[in-house]
Amino acid sequence: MKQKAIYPKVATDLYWVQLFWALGFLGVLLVIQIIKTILSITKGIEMNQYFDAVFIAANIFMLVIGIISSYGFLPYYVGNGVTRKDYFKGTAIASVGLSITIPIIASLVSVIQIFLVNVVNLSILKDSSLGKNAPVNEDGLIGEMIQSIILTPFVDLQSNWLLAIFVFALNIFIYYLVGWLIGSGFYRFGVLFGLICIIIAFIIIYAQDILLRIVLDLPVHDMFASLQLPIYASGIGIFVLIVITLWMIRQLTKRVAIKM
Amino acid sequence: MTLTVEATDLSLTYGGHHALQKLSFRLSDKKIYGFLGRNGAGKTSLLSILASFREQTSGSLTINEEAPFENPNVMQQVAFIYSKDYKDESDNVKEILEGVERYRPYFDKEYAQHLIQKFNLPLTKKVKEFSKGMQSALNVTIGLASRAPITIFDEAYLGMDAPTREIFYQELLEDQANHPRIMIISTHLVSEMDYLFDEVLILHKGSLVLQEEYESLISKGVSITGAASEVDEFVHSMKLLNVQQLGNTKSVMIYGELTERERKNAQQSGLEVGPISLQDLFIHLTEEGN
Repeated sequence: MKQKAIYPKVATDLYWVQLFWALGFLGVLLVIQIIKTILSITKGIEMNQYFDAVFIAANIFMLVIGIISSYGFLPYYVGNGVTRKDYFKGTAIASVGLSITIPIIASLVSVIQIFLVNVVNLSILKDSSLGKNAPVNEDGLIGEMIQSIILTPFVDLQSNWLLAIFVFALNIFIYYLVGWLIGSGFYRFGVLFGLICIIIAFIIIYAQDILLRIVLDLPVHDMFASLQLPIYASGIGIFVLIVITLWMIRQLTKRVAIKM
Repeated sequence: MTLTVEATDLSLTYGGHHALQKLSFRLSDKKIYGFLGRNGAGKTSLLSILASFREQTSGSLTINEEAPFENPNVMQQVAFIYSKDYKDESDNVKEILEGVERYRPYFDKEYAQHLIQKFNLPLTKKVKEFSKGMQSALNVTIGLASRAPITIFDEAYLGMDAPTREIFYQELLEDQANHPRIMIISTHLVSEMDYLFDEVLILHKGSLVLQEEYESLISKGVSITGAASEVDEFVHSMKLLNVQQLGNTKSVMIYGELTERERKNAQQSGLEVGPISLQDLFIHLTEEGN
């Protein structure tokens, strides 16, 4: 009864399904971008480029589809005779692929946008200022945690496109993972544990924010401003954070009973 | 290849509720097994362990001596069809079947197409807009066309009207004849489905009451029909399952086989001896207090 591994198939299918959703999301943002362009031309105000706009919105998109994973895909795959392990591997691989694809699409559209704006010689696009957003002095951890969600570390596409895409991908990948973690927490143990997972998710995002800021040499939140970490250590820190999150998701879904 | 399903002291407890208690049985032939039990008897719990939807608390369940849970080789061999909730399903029949086809190694696309036509299901309408009966027909289509060596239908007929259920039963018998496999059907519509079963397992309050061939099971009891006084006299020391009377004619179901001599006596008294229905036996065996 031996057969070849099934998770590559799961990964491929999940990648395409979620990319299809992502294209819908990117399409909506494109329409908004076009409307904003018309408004900018007529009213003479500056606007973000497409890459920046997607960067701001994609976190929430990834969080939501991450949450859906446990409720939608897990029962679907187990119901089709796929193990939880293959589901887990497939989902993880697909989410990496999706996290890389979205910023690539966004940057391509952005390049076309910049080209078109330059051709007609308009100066409606703002310089990317997202990266320069420094955390405001906030008292207490909660304020800083909320800022870590609002002011996500960002690299301008035109300053270093490869790094910009990488940081974008890393960011939305983490959001997908915490969404998946929250969904799995609710699925396995119900509301109370799910709420605990939301708090854990906040902590993961906050930690990733600090580490990424250190790596990118961006201003760090007050509470950790004195933290002197070498860049490679922060890089390893981010990697460990991802591994821990994946490990928690696997523990939650490893032996979970499928709801009928 | 024939698979063997073997349960030994299989138990499941959750939330302080003993859903299954030390069940032991063995299914080793390509037959249609009827799993009967009243509401809450533990049918779905048992079948969901078989389908790796959950794990047992203790005891063992194996398929060809391998535990099915998280076992990729075994899980592919088992298809579990139940009344699935499709309220969020925006895919249509075509898309759903394409998905199943990718993950079910023995899926027969043409046969699925044939069933879709038989059940008169629209291919391009969103499944969430289907009636409950149509959704059940889709489930049954998936279950039959997947041709999994172990196919489980857990009250899969819910919401189907009588003609649709009849199509289901006919297709099931026909496909089982053409592609024999271990087919497990759980139901409490006993009187309607009894003719499908080769072997019957009755569950009651999480325990296995009996496992027996259908034919030998229904010979466990007889019905005696005739004049009320004659019948009363004949059955007075026997275990009655059911009594029906119309005017002076009485029909009594009794549990237990008749001896040759009793049969002769019945004949001499002008009584008619007939077979008992599985439904009557089922009701008797799962009565409160039993």
